[in-house]
Amino acid sequence: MVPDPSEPASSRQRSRQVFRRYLLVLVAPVAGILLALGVGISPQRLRPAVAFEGIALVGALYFLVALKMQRRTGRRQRRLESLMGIQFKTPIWMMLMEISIPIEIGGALAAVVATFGFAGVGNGLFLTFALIGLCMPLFKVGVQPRWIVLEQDGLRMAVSRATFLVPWTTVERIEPVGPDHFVALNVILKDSDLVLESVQPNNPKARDRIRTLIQASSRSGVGLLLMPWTAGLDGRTLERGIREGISGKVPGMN
Amino acid sequence: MSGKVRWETTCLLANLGLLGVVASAFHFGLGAHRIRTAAIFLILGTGWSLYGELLFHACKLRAGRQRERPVPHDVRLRVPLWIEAGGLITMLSTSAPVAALAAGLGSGQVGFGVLLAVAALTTTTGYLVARYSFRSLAFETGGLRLYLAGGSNLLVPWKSIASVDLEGQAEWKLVQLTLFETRSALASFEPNTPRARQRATLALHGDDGSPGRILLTQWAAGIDAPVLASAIKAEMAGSGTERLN
Repeated sequence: MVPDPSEPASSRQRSRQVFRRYLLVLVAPVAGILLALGVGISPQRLRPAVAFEGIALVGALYFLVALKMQRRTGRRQRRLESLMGIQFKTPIWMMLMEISIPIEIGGALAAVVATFGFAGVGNGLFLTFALIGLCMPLFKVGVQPRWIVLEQDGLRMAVSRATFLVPWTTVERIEPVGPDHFVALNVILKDSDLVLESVQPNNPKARDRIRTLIQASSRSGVGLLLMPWTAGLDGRTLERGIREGISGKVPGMN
Repeated sequence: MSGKVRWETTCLLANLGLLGVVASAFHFGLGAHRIRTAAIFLILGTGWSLYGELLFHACKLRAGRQRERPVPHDVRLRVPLWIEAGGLITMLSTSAPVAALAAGLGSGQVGFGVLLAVAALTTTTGYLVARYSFRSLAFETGGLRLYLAGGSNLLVPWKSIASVDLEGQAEWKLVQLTLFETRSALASFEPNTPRARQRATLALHGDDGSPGRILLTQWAAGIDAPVLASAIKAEMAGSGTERLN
């Protein structure tokens, strides 16, 4: 049977499609450089393009290796019998994954521009993308938890310099968003009073920060949006931990 | 309105201020070539900032006019290009001083690269947002017809809409439509291919049958968000021909 081209592909096929596009981003500049060499442009002139492409390739390789490590971490976390009492924190190699994406794209684009002889324009392009990449972890400060601990009473989190507890009794429901390997969680709360009472340091500034975070995170009432791999935790594992906490069936706890 | 200076005004002042500095440096004969390239970026930046300022006032006037007139029916309403371009132009006016700084330090090409990167990123982000959101609509007797990029569309019956809320801050408002269910809207989807349907499901924030949510950004379909919210509420109440307040 001939497949319908408009039919959405399976997740495996989609991953392959994404991978092919990803390769194209990297292969196109290499092809451009080889073509320029073939046409007779001096290697000396193409040196900046090669340098940019080298950076893009290093970024891409890092991302692929880190992606494999992330999947392995996810599998290991899913096998954990109990998540209680463990402080989950984003490892540096996972933070670098986010940085590597703009660096890789910027490098590839800069390589294309530099192949045409505009190495300066390539510098500007690459520096802008690199700056955005380096700022990526800063965008999460105050918006996503630095660390998470699943406790017997609730979910304890640290955002900026404040920590707070989301008691299991205040969690109304959780809504997973996104594909299985990249799940974000929308934690809908019944009310925010108990959460705000638990904020440490106990001052109006810290409470206001958490209040804003809770209100801004959800459109359907009070809630928290936990992005995929928040605090280095696989979304499905975190979902399981929260569900166990809500139901009171916590393995490894007496 | 609070006494906070708007971003467009800040950009205009920054570009004009730096242009003044560059003009003084030029007057005293400092690095004529570098200064000239920096000045070109700052003149462009000033032009873009002026566009942003004019856009703000033009949008205010447009919103005022729309408040006094009924929203047209059975006509596809789109975002005018001059409003659509606002996002890109604001980003360019913001990065023009950085480009000028690079030019002042000796590389006009680096400055151009910065502007190119900002333009590429803004355009890509805008394209992705437009692809998965409704940016064009038509008020029809049966409901609200919403269009995705590429012309695919669906009809949300008035009776499917549970609530209309206005969200966001003073300068950037969103209209949020909460639906009782998405089945009837998805059933009307044209062209009904699985891929297009998947995009519609994403834009509706809900699977077949589940309660959905539609977010219409500020100036979606070229209508000011509060006016759009009032018009939808009026249609829901069955008084769509009344003047909107």
